[in-house]
Amino acid sequence: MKPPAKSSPRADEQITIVCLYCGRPQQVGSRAMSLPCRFCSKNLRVEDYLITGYEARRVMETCGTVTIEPTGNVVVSRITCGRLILRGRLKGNVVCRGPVVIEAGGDLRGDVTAASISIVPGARLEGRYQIGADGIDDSTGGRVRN
Amino acid sequence: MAEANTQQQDYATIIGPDVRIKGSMSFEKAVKIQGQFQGDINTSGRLLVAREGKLEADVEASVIVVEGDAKGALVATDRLELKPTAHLEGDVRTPRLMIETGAIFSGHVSVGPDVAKDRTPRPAAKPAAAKPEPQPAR
Repeated sequence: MKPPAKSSPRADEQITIVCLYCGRPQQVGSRAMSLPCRFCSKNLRVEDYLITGYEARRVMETCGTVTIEPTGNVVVSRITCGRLILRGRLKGNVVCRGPVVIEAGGDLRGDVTAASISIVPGARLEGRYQIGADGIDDSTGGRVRN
Repeated sequence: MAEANTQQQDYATIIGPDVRIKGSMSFEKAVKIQGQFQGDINTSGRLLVAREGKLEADVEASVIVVEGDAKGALVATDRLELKPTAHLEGDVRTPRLMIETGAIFSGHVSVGPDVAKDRTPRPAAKPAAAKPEPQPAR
């Protein structure tokens, strides 16, 4: 797994993230990789993940974007992320505060809770889905309802 | 006005907003549900649950478009579309699924080129047994 190549942001550039635990939005430096939440003090990963090969792990958590490329094959118990782009294979449950994008060739086996989802023809899905207000509530800053 | 007329022509059958139906329905072309339907739908055509429509049914159709409320197991052999105003609770099987931002969906999903073909066929609705005609007394 490696961070995606991107143009180097300016040091003073700020981005808004939403805490995965307390759901509160906050501004952080765009170069930040991980930091404690200003409100609940839990440690947050902010970096984006680009997965191009086989990856097996228990949990994957980031406030950023997880991208699984066509050659990527991920087996995970749970992914909690700000955004998910799936072009390869993923076996595991997903909790996403932003959109889940499943492109042609994407294969997702697992339960999904997300604010919105976009599925391109050619994708394969199997699992239980909670999309929209019943899952993640955008109006409350993306908090998961318990 | 012209657009509304064209939309009406697209749907050979329209179940109006003040109509409530319980039972099973089959058709060949396209049906738009603006009222309430409860039961089973089995068709090779297209089904639209309009924004004001309410559907509580197990549906098998070629194309299913949901703009209103729907509950039940939906099988679309071509595609299933959830529009931004859609609220769907139920299981979905289709080769192509389109969920637009704003749609609310909760249920099990099976999407893939073969899923609609793989499903075990539902038993066909039994026709009502014809009552034997009374024989004249001899």
